Amino acid sequence: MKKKGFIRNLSVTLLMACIGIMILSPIVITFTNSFMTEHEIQGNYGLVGKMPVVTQGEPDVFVNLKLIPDWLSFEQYGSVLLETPTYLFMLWNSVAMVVAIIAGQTVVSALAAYAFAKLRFKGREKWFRVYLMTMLMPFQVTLVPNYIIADKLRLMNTAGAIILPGIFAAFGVFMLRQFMLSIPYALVEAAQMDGAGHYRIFYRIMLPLMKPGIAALIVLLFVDYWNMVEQPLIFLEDSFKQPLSLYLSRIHKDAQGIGFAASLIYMTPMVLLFLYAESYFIEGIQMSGIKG
Amino acid sequence: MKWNRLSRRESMVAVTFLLPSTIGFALFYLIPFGMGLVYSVLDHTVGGSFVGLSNYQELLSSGSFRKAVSNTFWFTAVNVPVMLMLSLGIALMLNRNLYLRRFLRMAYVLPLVVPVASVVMVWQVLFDWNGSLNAWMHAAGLEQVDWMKSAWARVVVSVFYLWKHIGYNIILFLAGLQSIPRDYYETADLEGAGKWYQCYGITLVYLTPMMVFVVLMSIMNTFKIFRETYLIAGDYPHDSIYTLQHYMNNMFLAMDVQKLSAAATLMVIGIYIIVAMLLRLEKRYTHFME
Amino acid sequence: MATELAEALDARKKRVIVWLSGLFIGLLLLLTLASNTLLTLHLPKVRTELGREGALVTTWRGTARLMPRQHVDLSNKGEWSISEVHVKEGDYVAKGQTLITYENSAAEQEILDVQAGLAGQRLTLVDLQDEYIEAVQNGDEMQVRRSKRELERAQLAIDVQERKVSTMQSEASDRRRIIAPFDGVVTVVNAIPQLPAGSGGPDISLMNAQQGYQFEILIPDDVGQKLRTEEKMNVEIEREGDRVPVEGIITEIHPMTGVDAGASYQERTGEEAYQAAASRRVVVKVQHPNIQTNDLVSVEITQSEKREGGMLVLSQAIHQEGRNSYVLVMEERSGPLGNTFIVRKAPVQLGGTNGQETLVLQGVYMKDRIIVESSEPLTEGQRVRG
Repeated sequence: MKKKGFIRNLSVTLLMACIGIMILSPIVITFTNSFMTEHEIQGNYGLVGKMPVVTQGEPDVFVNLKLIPDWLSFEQYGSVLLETPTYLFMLWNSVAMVVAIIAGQTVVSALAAYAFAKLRFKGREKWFRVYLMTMLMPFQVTLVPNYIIADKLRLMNTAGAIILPGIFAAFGVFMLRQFMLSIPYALVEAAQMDGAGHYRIFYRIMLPLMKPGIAALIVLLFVDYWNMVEQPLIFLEDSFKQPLSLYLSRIHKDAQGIGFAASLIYMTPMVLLFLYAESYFIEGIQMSGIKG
Repeated sequence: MKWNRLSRRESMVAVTFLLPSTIGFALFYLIPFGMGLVYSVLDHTVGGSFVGLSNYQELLSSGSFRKAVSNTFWFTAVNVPVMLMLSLGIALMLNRNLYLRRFLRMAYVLPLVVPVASVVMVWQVLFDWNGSLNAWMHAAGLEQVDWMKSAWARVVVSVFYLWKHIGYNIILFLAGLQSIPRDYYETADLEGAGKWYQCYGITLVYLTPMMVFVVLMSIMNTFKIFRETYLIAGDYPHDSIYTLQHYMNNMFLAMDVQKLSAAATLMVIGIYIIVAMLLRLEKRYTHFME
Repeated sequence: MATELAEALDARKKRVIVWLSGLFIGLLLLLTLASNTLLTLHLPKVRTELGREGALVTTWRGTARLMPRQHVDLSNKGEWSISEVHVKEGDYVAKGQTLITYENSAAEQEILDVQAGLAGQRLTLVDLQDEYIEAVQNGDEMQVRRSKRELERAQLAIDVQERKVSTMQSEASDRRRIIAPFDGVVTVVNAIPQLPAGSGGPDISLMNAQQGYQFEILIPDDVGQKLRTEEKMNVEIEREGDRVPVEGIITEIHPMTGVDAGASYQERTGEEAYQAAASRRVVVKVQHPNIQTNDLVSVEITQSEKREGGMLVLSQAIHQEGRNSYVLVMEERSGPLGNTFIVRKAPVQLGGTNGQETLVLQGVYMKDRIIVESSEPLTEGQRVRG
């Protein structure tokens, strides 16, 4: 009985590991390929994006996907970090935008979430549902009016056009409300008995209790906004204002040779953050799934 | 009487708590949404006059819009069930007492945090005409396929979509599975219920609320597939992966505000219907369970 | 026990991650600072200046030669030869002063001849008187009348001859010398003793000291618009290295459209060559004791133009693109690594220019840093280093 279970367990593990490796493979390939020389990259993948007509007659010409580099080299990193100042510039653009959005959204939505979770007022559920609906909308739905408003507020082509809508996005309110619902209302009542006002309750009781929720929110927001493509594509014209995600979307055309290292550096903060705060990340996602 | 006064005071407090969020939310989300609604029934953005539903008529008669709608619909209709089954299956297996469980879970979740833009290179190497997938197929004696420039592009984008979002659903299902009390299974065991009945009768039933949420989020994520498509296929993807989002983006670039607003309004209505239906379904189901 | 171990492992893992993250961020920061510096070094270097508020001072310079206001050439009207020249060039002369004396031996001879003829006629007259007396004494009536007529005829001929002598004499004394018609200065003396008069142009030229000097100058319309006759004009006269400031008075202004303003001796300051589209000929009267004909006069006309909202920009900062002018402005934008400078193109509306500075009416503001020089050609949106 026990042995049978062991074998079954092992086979399932193997199967899952296979799928897991497939899922991880793009990341692993990026990692290993980032240590190839630019020359080797060109040799292996130079054919990507070439017209199919060129090889129509002789279909034997293919790219050569290789996992292990011929030579361990830091040439790509050197090129990215030392010879491509735009890269680092845009990296910090990304950092600045993400940090601003996270800081703003956490504060704004913690306040709003408290109101939605622990205060009774008329129209609370309806208003919250409005928030929820916008969360589900694709960005394109309000593209034109957003554009007009950004223009009116003189935000076009400034980081503000990305940061401000980010700060007021509904996601943080939703997340933190979900989290706060799990904090018993009795705590609020008990504090009120002691004569504490809502501001005090929020600051003294809720905030300390919300720390895991806020941590989860920060991780999720980081992931979300580190990835953003659509908003900067529309709102930022000057390349020196754009975040790194847009640079990488062009890199396979512009500078294939350093693409892998550039990608790897770009994903490193995310991966490190994930490894550090994996539990918060997973809790955060689970929290968003709990019916409120 | 006393309660009433108290609640009024609480409303005042609530307003102060909500104020910063509401101002920004209204400015960047609600007002734009309202403006979009208004634009969809005007003939010009500035100083336009009311033209009723003619924008919608024009929109519905436009071939590219219908193409985009059907692409989006089919993409969702195919991918959401596939996603649901795959993620549920993986979650069920991960829920066992496996070796390397933490590592495996991490492997499935990692794509969620890895920026799409940073694996685009690999994706292109795989799916190019000269790419390695074709190389393998050639070695196996199969015909080369132009993945990104044929109907296969749908498959490529689907794979990308699954790769990216499966971790999210797995986490949700795992949480759902762990919230099912062990006793239920033990009771079922005692009553002599088979494994399949346990899975169907207990696991699926208790997972339903979570499943509704997963379906909802998956649908929403298929509506947001633009980012992935844009990154691997650029501004002008193959016809088969031309989604509503592409349509709206192109309308924006063409400054066809009326069509864009009308399309956006229709999309919002569609989303609203889907959400309402799912929530009703869930309510009926939980009601039935009780 | 197991959970403790797991927790310890977890804590260790987290420490490693924190350490790695710190390393990563530190490395990136370091490289960013370094590479940003590198980037900055690669950027084109520009020099900027702010616009200056003030009036556009247009200075126009021109030179001319002094000319006497009234000038007379004097010559001998006959073929006389010069016997003596009493003055030299530059002498001040008073009215009535003899300037040159002449001689003409032929003319004197002729007078003598005529006088001799006259004397002969007088003798003939005496003969006729005698004849008349004789006839009266004879009582010859006819003879008396005849003689009387002869006598009258001879008398008439003598009168004619006498008048002729007197005119010849007065003419001779006239031509014998030239006297100054007014107080003035001898400007040219062509006469050389012993040579016939008028051999090299006028024998002597005089200018009128009372009337003073004048000069003529062509002034372009845009500068000369405000000039009016009877107005004063400050000029400088160069004399033997000195510059003497003198006040002149404008006497005449003649518009001269489309004439190539004989720009040979008039030159506009600044780089652009002056095109004589429209100019005016201005005559200016100058009076000063220490000046002379042909002295170099320099004229400087300054005009200040001020417009509300306009500002002065160095002309080299202004670029042309077809018919439109623009300036490049350096804008400061804050980035994550301190501020960066971007080139922006600003279309401008120009007022006048004085070669060095140009009046910009619209398009830029006082605080704009206008690029006047750059190490390489710039395009809009380019990053530069200030």
